[in-house]
Amino acid sequence: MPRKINEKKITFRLLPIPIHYGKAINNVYFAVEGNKSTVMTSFKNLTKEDQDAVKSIISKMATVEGFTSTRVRWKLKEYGYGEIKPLPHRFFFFQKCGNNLIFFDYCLKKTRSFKDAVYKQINERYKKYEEEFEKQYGSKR
Amino acid sequence: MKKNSKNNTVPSVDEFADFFSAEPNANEKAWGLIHDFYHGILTSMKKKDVSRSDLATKMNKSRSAISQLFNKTPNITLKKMVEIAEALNQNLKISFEPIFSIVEETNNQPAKASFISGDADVVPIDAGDNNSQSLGVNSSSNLIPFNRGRARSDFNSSVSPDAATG
Repeated sequence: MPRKINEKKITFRLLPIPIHYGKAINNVYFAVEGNKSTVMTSFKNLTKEDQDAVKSIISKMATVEGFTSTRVRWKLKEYGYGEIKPLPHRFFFFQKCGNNLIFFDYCLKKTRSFKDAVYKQINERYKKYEEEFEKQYGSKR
Repeated sequence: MKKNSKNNTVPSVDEFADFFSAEPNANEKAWGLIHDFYHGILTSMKKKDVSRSDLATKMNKSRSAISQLFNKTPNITLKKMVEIAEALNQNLKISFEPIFSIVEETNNQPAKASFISGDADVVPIDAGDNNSQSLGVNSSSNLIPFNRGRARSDFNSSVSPDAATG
């Protein structure tokens, strides 16, 4: 009997951007793995004030062409993913298949930056989610 | 590094929809305005090839003071915002536009809007010229490449020169 593979199913959920934020130029997704979402759970655990800050950044990323902010790094050096930094919180995302922003991870850290080992760990998860997103949405372009 | 994982279950589908569906509150709108402000400033700096060090020199401040300014929350004072804008030869102006209450709409659906009341925007505007590097909307309604982004907010009530500290 073949051994059961303990792989959790990865899906991506779209966050609808209401028109009162402006016309969306990017779709915003968050990753769900095995019925768990690190990103959304972490978001829900933030204070209301921090939630407002995060929502504001994400809505700007979705609606403002070439949005620039000291709180957004669209792509980290040497890696394919970026981060938003409503410090001390950090949410990680990548851009894939055109105008899709996929939030896939979260970390809490009060200092300005992480050691590279942390970014490497996140990079592993990024590669996994990116591949899965490409599989699920790449052909729909 | 800590993971913030008290309860790692997926919220219900309704909660996904609620993430952005509610009209932004004053705090979120204030964040939106401050993001618009810094987006305008950073875009202008890039276009004019002004570094943070250059800006520090123009404002007669240290480089670290400028870095701190760029990490401000909506509690930044209007005075500091004006100073930053002026260092880039821009005027900062406040304009008003009506709030539209939009019911059950997303970017994929047609909007049903109804007029409610006036409100404020904060947009940087070029001081002297009308060239394409201008930002925002000036009093004569010149539309300039700056995302108004529906970033209307209760700006007058959430940020005031004497209430906020830089």
